[in-house]
Amino acid sequence: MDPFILPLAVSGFFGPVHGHGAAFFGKLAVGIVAGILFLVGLQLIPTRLRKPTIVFFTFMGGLYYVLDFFLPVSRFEKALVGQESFAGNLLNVFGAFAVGLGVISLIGLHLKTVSRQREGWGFSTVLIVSFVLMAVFTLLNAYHPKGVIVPKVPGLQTNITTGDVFTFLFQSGLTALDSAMFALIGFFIISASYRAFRIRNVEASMLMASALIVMLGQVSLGTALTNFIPPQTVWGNLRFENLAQYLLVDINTPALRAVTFGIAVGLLATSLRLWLSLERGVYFDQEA
Amino acid sequence: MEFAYTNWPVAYFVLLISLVIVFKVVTAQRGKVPSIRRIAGMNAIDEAVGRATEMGRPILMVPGISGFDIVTMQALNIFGYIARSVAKFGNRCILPTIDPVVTGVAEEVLRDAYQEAGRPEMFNPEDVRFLSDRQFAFASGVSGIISREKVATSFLMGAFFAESLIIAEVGQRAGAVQIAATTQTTQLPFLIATCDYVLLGDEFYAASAYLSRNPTLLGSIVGQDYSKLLMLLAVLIGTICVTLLPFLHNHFMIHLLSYLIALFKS
Repeated sequence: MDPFILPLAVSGFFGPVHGHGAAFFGKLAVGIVAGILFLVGLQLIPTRLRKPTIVFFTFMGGLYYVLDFFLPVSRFEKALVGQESFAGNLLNVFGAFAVGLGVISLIGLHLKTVSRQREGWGFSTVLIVSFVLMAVFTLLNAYHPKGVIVPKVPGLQTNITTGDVFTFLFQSGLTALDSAMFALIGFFIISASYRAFRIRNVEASMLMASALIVMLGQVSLGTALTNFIPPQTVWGNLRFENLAQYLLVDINTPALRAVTFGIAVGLLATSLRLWLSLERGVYFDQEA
Repeated sequence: MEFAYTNWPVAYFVLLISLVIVFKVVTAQRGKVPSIRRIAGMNAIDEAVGRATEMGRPILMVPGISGFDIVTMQALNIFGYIARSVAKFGNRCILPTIDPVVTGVAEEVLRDAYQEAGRPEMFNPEDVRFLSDRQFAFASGVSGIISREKVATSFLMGAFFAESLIIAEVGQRAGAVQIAATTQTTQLPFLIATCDYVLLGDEFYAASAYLSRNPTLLGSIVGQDYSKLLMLLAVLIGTICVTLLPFLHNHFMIHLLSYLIALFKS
């Protein structure tokens, strides 16, 4: 008998269902009831057992990924590797519940601003109207993309459908505004660089000089300035593009790698502390 | 997903440094509490919070845009300590988020901080706001908050991407004291150019240990330092092997070098 029959059966039961038949609604109902029972059960746990419960679930959740990483794939493929999508789907489900909370919080705040006519209530109105429009036309586009909003009248070549309105809102609205915000970064870089690159001391001067060399090495003007230096000779190393490459590859990259390794070790340490519940910080009681 | 069998040297090294970290944590918990060096950005927190209180302006805390992961949890951990300081001064914290899960956790962190400081009435749940799950919509929202609320101090801690420069530059123009920490090395130059204090690399993870002086956290920092020392040793041994190999042709050295190359192979 397969030793992993129970976890496989559980993950099989919670696997995706195609279509909207009895199986879909049945599993949906079972999932909701099971979820509510689980939450009620958690609330009924005695206070002194709550921390051990959290520690247990945290440990088991982390243990799955540790075993998945270390144990041989060929031997434990069904039990571990095969459940990765199921584990990922669980996280997506929790995230989906949280989106509702976020939306309620956002709309609630702005409705309050509009109803009390606080400062900036006009912007809150725009937000609420945009939210409703986008939500409505996204849903309509998903289920009735060819639904006619404005029929063909003299002056229009075709009907205006829900898909057309969604495309207009998304591409001409959202995407265009995203691009505009991204474009602002160019201007902010100029003002930040103007303020930061000042020759105050030796280190600042070195920073200014290296920034100048790297910038000139990336543009045609910079390469044109040192174009007279033959590239195949030793002096070719003084061409701006080669100097810039040297600064980026031989000086900058090792430093960034060292910082990245420190960050990775810090991440590992924090993960270990959380997995093994060694940390007693914001989410647990303070250590005695 | 990566598996251990694709690169066993890396798996063994991860196990080794995990054991080192856990060992140092356990020894610290049993009384051998280490000390860590001064971190300039963390020393400036009280001064920055006091400045904001004197000016009668709120404090902004942004936990990054990566959703609810280890980096954001670390950021919220630090914000919990800062919020206690803010609550003691009787000031207001604004915490915008990009993830609804983070909103819920952040609200509890701030509520607990104000309660611990004995000022639960000062906590306003509307100050922890979910703005948007889109990067630049979030950046616009945070910029708007900085400009309208005229924040005096801004803490940018967590995973940031292109929006870091927008948020930090708007804060600079508003005259806010800015303390930043990020795990994204690509954003470090922008934050260094625009912020007053920046925590580099694993100083971000050391910040909570520095603020709390908790033995577990201090032991973990020392464990991390020993891990970096082990990596440095590996680099040194590899360099020596590569230098001497053409002259010695030693089989042990060849095996050791191939092991080290596998360790550093990405």
